[in-house]
Amino acid sequence: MLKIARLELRGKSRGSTLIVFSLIVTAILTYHILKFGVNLDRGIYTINVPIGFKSFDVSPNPDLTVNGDVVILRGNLKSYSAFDEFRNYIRSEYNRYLNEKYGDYAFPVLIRLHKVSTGMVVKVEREKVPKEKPKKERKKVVENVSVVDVGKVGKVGEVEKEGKVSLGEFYLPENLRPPILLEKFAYAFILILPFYFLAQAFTSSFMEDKVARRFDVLLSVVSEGRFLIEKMTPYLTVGLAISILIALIFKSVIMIPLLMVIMVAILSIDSFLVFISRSYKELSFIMVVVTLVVTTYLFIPAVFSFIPMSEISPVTLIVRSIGGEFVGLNEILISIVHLSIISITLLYVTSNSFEFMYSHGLITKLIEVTTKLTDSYLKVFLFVTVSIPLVFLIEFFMLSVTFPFKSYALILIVLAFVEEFFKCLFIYSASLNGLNPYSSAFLSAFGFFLGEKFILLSVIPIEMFGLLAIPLLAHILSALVFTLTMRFGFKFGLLSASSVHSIYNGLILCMLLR
Amino acid sequence: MHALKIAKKDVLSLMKEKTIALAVLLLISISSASQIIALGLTYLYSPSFGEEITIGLVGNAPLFEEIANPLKFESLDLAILSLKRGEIDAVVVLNENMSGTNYVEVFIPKEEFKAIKVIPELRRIFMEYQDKMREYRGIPTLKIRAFDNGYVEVPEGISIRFRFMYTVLIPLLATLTAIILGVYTIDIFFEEKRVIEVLLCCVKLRDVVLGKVIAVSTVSILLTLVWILGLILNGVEMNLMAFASSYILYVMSVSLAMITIRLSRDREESQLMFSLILIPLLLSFLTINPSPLSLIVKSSLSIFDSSFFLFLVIDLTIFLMALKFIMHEKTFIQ
Repeated sequence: MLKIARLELRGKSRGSTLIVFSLIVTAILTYHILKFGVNLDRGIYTINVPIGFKSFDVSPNPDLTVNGDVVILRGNLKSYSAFDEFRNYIRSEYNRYLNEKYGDYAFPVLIRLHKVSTGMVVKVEREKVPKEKPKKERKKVVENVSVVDVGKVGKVGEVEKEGKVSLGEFYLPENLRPPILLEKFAYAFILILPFYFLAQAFTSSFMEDKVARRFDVLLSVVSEGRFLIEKMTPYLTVGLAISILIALIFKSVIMIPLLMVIMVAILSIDSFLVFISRSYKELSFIMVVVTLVVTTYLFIPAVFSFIPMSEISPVTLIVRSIGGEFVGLNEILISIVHLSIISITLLYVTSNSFEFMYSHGLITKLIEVTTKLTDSYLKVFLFVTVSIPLVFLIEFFMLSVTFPFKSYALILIVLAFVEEFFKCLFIYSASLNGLNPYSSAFLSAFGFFLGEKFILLSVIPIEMFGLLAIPLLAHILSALVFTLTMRFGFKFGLLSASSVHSIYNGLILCMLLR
Repeated sequence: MHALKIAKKDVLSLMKEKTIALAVLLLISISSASQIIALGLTYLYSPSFGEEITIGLVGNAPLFEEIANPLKFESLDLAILSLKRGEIDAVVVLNENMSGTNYVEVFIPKEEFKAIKVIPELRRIFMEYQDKMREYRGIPTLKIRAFDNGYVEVPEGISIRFRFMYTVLIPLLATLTAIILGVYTIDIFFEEKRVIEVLLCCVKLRDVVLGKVIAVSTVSILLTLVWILGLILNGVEMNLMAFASSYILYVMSVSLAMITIRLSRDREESQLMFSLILIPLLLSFLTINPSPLSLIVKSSLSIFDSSFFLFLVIDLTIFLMALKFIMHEKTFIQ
């Protein structure tokens, strides 16, 4: 039992002292950061008088010149930012002063936010019509309506006046803002950091197996799937231990599935990277790139955690959980399902790819593996459908690469190319297996459409469902174009299908902008 | 001369495998992600981007009505119904109390994107309401005015975007480059280990090591230029002093990689050792100030920190130690 896992641990025993030492120091530093925050903002602004705020240093040529209740700025973004932080700092100090001098009397307004489910309404507004201010005549007289029993609310907490608020509590008006806190964002990153390094150790060891051709020996006695699972077991066990520790620290059991789904996703992506890499050097670079792509994919939604779509990332829920907010089961499911699909798909592909490990060329390798896998029409449909979360992840990366060029055309072409690559790959592989390419093309297009729209289902209003036939037809058309042109080679077919898809994307965009 | 040839071989092999292209793409992607995030943060936080909103009021609040001009409702149920229909943007439940604390219950839509826009406007309205209440109670209100060739209204939350750029994104890009360089150093040294005995017939060990250092330096210049230019093209003001400060971090990472190469049997062990030392080191750079990371933040903001010279001395010492450590035949032949 678990012989490969034990073998894996034996290889690491030499560095066990360093591992323990590193873990202890990392734990101490993480605790320090969680308690006192990061310290990169010391002295980033300058001011003419000392104010006792660590971000401000006194300078003869300051960003802010304070003169009574007037502050002189320097006209650049830094100076404006300095003023914003100065204003917040003075407000909190002023609140402290008011609290000492007047007590609760100085805080006449405390607000509690409630989010009401209104049913999804998506409005596409071409031009904003200025709304007229409601007139006094529209008012209806209300006779003493008291819905909330203020008597039960209790005294204003001292903590609130210090500027530290928690969700679900009463806010001072100045603290009423969308709950996106960069600090918690940094905490979440620190919590996930150990998983990256575990994954790095796993990938190094896996690549060493590949380069030293240990596979050839081991796979003669164990199956590919078992090898992969046992290889991951020690890393998953350590990951689980870390997750439990974090869950205990934050007293939040939901941290365990949220962190573990990230851990499994990173490990499965990295094992796939071992399959596609030709050398250590290539693996190292690809791994850094992919790690960052995954990080961005996980963290950017968390920045916009007020948007419902942000729940697609487990990090959003981790950040909310750190803030003490309740996270429901359905939210957890939304955030872990798509990452789980990515993990399962990649693990399945990797465990079937050992015989092609040493083939040359990324596309050749992918075609070889998918040809092995797509031996029935059902599999063509299934593989295309489950590849959607992966497609979105890659599209997200490509979007951020093409964004600075400020060209709609470029973005549309790149996105079309990514989508067509996945659709065409399975059509091509199925045809190599002797399946009818036209049937495969239809199933691939339908599978892609279904997977894509399933993810977007939550944001598409019911009245727009009738319009979904158009993208379905476009997917079928581009798949058929590939089928007709793939006789000139996979790349030529892909180029043709991508061109058709890009034209469709362009037409839709023109219609929306008109 | 031999060193240059070895460096050229390493850099060319990187180009050949197209791995450098991936690293460049990555840095461009992260630099431009800054623009997306900055846009999002500005949109979310800034009330100047906020829309005029219609508030529904349940209760009796004359002073609040003067400020917010709300639509009044007889019951919370009716107001919520109106909110669900999209006729109003928020419901405020308030029975004004001029002498005590007013606990205000505010209902906003959960799903609609508009909820994001409602909050900054609610904040503005309630801050004004708080000031009026304080004035009524004889409590002095806080007034801070900003001037920049005349009175200016500085948007609330503008610093969040700024902080994100300079204290999160720039250190992240520099750290990432340092990690890439460290890992690359380990890779190119171990690659040579397999053929070192043959190579040492023709060149000196010093030339091999020097060649590797030149290769790493070339890659570092390219990557740093990419992310700095990427940020500048995305509208982030950068002082080029950040270029020099980044090297404090890079040299530490590369020196550490060189030391782990000497101490390890194989690449796997070296990578593991490198990671295990680098994690706590980077975390300590987040907590200690001054640190190589805080230096990068400050220099990108055109702030000169004299600790630069201290780190320069530390770097030189570590690098020379690492060079001496690695420039030994035992590093390659065990």
